[in-house]
Amino acid sequence: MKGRPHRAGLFQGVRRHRDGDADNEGERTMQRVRGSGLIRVRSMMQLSRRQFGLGAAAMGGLAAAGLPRRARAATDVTFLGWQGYDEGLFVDDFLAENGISLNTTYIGNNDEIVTKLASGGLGSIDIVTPYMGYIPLLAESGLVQPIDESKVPNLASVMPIFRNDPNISVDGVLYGVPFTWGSAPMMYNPEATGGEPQSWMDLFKPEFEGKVAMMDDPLGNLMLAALIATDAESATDLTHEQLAAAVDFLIKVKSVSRVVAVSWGDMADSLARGDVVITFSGWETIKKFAADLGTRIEYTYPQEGTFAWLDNYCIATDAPNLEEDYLLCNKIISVESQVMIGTELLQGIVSQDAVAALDPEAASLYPYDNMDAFGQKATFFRFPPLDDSSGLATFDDWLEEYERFKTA
Amino acid sequence: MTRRAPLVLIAPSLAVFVTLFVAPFAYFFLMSFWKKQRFTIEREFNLDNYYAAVTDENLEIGINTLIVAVSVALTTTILGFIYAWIVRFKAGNWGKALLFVALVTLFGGYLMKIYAWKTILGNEGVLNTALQTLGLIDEPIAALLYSPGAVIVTLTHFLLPFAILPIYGSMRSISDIEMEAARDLGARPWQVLAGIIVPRCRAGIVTAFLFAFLIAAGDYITPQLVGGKLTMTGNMIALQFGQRFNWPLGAAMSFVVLTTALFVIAATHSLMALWRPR
Repeated sequence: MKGRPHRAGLFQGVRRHRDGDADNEGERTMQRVRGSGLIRVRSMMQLSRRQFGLGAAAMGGLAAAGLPRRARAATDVTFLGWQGYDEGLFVDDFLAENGISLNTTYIGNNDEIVTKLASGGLGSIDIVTPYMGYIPLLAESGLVQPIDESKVPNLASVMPIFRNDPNISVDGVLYGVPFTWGSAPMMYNPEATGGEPQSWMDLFKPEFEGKVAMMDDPLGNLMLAALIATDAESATDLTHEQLAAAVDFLIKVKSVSRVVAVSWGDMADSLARGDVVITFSGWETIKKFAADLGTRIEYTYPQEGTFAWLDNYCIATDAPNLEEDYLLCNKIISVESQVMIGTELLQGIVSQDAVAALDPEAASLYPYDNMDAFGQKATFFRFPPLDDSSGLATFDDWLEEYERFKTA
Repeated sequence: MTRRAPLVLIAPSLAVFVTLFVAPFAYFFLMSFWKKQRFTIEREFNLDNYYAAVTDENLEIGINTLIVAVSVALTTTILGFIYAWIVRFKAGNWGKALLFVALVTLFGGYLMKIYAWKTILGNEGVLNTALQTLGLIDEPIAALLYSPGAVIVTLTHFLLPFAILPIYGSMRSISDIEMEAARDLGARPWQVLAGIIVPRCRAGIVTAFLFAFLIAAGDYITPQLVGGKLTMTGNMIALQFGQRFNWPLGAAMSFVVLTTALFVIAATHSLMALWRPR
């Protein structure tokens, strides 16, 4: 106490005023604060609670009056889909002109769409981008609404093979606007592989061990595994034994893999950084993602073939912004958006008018001039059975078996 | 009025706590006994979910998760203790600056740190490139990234500020007088550390350990992004709630994790209580 006159004085003050609370650290601190002069500042600005409330209200009023008046606040449209599927909407000032602000969440697999819509998403989600195989399931469960074709005039320019895909219409009613397609090629780093791999079985070559990437996508992975490792005629009509064999094959691929990616961007990232050199399943657009990161990645359709997919804009049931949703559906299959996604994102496009406007390099990526030949290497499989009336494995069985792959 | 004032004052917080925490908690507890049918949930009481949550693959994954979580917690606590010790006893005036640095990293955000480690640990990352340039290795070390080690490093980095703060808080209350007295009586530095400092910081150390353990045990984003093929319990729970729509099983697994965590908390408290100050 001797060398500290100030503190001694304060402690004495505490003891004089409150006998029992001298040990209270909080009170001691408060006294120290008062000694420093803080209380003096506060006593200059004597604000009673009522005055503070009035002051706050006045400030609030001033602030509100000072806000710039806008013709209409931007509408928040919720978009739940694959990374890159909203890019086509940003090709020009379309969103700004229509006062739309896009609120996006990216998915890693289609099942997320079903579960998010089924678990309380209805009423807050506008657009979802499911694979065509999911549309009958979504429509049957009442999770997406029919498309009013009169509000999507650009549908007229969509190629018949896509417009008439049996999966996107249920009982003759259209439930989705197809806008892009692709397949699941093998992605590879040509410098590391020294050439174009010919077969999916090349994944098991010793030089690729521990350098393979996979995607966490139950439907895609199982279809591809069924194509390669079972004798099933159609990759989505599998017996339980064939399904088990497909999962066994996936586990075998996992044993030589380094990464099970959570998104295509993640897979592109690991390819670009040289952490993996070859993939099981893929997407043509990964070539573009990797190129943006500075690495040349190529793709190929191995001899066993692969599956193809057709993705759509669907409008969720009880979507909060119906008018804006139709504008977006029509926009994504407009010539300018299709040309953009075909050129910059290397996505397969559906609009005949847009294909005609593509530059030769972009057009050469997909067999627009001969879709029959493409159909031989890649197949648009319909969805696995939903009920077990045919004795084949149902989609639920697929998801359950897939857990074996996840835990391996 | 004095009797009821506390109740009235905490009523708003209590309401928030009950509606946003207790009620959903109770609902999920109920749900863990139900069954999932395709995309709907049947309210049939059964214990299948709990059985599934503790057997076969889930058990193996649970044990792996426990190992990773304990490793993260131990590493974080030890590193946090060292940092807090430096700040409190050795850094002098720089102590506040060091503490500020530790706090500022909290603003960085969780995902940012994960991607930072991806850049550092990858084949072409900072660490591998540096080692190759120095001639210490020929090929990049693949096990640095996409491995359990990467998960431990990333989680430790993220959780370090959360460990430093409680430990530092406990250390502040250690009076220098006690330590001086011990030294005067002939105690070596390690004796001062083990006999006075560590036991007095028990609360902070336990808090730091448990905080790190609990977060690491339930995490699923870090294993997904830097763990490669590593599957932790958090991943399996997320799988049930996401892809599988099997909320009952996910709820059951969550409660199994919670119970395990409670055991760990009890064990940690008892062990640390044994370490009494001299």
